[in-house]
Amino acid sequence: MSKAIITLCLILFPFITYAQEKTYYLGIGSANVMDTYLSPYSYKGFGMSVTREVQYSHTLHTLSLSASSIENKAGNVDAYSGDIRYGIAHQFDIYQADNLTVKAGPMGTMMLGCAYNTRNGNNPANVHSSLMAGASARIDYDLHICGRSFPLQYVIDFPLIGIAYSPNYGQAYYEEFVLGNSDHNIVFAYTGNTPSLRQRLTVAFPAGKHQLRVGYLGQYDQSSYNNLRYHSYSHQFVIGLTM
Amino acid sequence: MNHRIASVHCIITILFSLFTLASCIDEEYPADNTPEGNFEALWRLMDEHYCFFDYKQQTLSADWNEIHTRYRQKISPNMNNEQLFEVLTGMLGELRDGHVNLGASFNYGRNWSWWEDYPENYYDSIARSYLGRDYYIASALHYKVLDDNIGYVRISSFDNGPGSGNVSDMLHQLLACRGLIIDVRNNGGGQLTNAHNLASHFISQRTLIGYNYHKTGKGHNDFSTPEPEYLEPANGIIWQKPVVVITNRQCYSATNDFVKCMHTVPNATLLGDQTGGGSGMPFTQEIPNGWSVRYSAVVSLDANRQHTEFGIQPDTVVSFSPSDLQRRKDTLIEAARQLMK
Repeated sequence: MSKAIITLCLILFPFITYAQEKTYYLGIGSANVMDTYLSPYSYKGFGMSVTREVQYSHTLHTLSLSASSIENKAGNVDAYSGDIRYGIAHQFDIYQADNLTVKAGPMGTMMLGCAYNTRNGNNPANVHSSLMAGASARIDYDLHICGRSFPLQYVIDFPLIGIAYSPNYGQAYYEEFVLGNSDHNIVFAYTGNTPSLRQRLTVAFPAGKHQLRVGYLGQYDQSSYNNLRYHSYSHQFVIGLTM
Repeated sequence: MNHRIASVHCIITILFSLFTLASCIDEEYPADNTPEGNFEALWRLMDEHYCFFDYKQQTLSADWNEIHTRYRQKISPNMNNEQLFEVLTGMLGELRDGHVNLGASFNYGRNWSWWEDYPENYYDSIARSYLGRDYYIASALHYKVLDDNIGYVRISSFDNGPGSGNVSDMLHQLLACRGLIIDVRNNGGGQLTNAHNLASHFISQRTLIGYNYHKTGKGHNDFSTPEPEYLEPANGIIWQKPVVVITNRQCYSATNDFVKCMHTVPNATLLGDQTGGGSGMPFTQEIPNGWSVRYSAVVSLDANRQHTEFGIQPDTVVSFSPSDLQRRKDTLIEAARQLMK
């Protein structure tokens, strides 16, 4: 019992310590999604994301929602995709100089997403879900131009190992959820079958008591499980407010 | 300081290694929106996903590689959409599967020979005369008590019902009847759960109704282990008197599955013509020009592990007689009534 309480305290510790930095991001840009359970081809369109990022002394909590509205190349079928993900990273000081700081460390990520094709019959949607351990890094560089400071920040994270959900190649959700016939639906995920990456580069401007951040967000989620292939690429312009 | 620089160098090296190792997961299919590109994409899509190739090779001698060779010769760069559609539909038609279709905005490619080549054994106006005007409607169930105290229920689709409550309410209304006729002729299917809702009111114990399995890879024989499927008795009224299910060649897909379930019921008799079949659960994908491709993806066997893709034989074969047609009598309904006398 005492071990459980200590564990719980350790988990909650980052939440009850002083938040150094809290940033809200809104991203708007392009989306490119391929899910071979639904179609062998990529669907392209508009994507957006909302992210809440809280940086404690060495811990970073990230909660993000992404959504996209996409269509096939022929332009006659609409599809939608979206996901919610939470990540917690512990970042160690790797390098620190006058105007450069590098932090990096392990990161855990939970993700639940879905892609929905408006035309398909018994395979209208596919769920994407994973629990991954990976790594994250953050580089802060204080850029000085004409005597003014423009803090640059680059953040990157990627999964390395974990578990993920996937239907089997030709398995119907009816079989799995109505009849209860599972078939290798929880799969071992690693960089080889889940080569994914998220990165963001922003520059900050003073905005009263706060900081306004603008820049680029790139999300490249990929997986290949049970002979099903998936990718979701997103390039977004982001604007954020750090408080 | 040197240690820190070494750490940064190490991280950068790992990142570059990851970028190198992590290759893009991208499209593998032909993406050219040309007659050749669409043909190859369709052939490959079916080759890697369709679940009945071996069965169709055994029953129809349909060799998918030979079909490729034969139909590829009909593809030319200058053919128009209508010509391409005709060739592609012809190629898919070789599989004689009602769940294999090509969907374009101007046409729906199909091979419906599974019922078009056979007598219909159903005339809607004659069948409706048995219901008259004062029949009951409970969701998809249209029913009444015939004058010889036999219940008659007509179900033309399993798209929207019936729910289990509808079936219980109907059976409650028909409790005094000495038998029940379930007419599913020309019912092309719908939701499996609706078909099972109805069948579950005719079994008194957990019943094995069949086995299901799906593709696990691109090979024609990459299949999962067949999983048994059981039907649980409904919570409402269970019908234990005689029941006759009237079938014809247009009983397809979920209706074929309903007939498959009723085939396991001891007090049920299947009467009429063979069902149309359609035991593969269809998935949908597409080819580069945006035409939809529907194909059977999940195989469903009966309780004896036999395919029902080409239909289920009735216990009692009855065909519509021309003289009955003239008298505006439904031969199959009359035969069902005789069976329960």
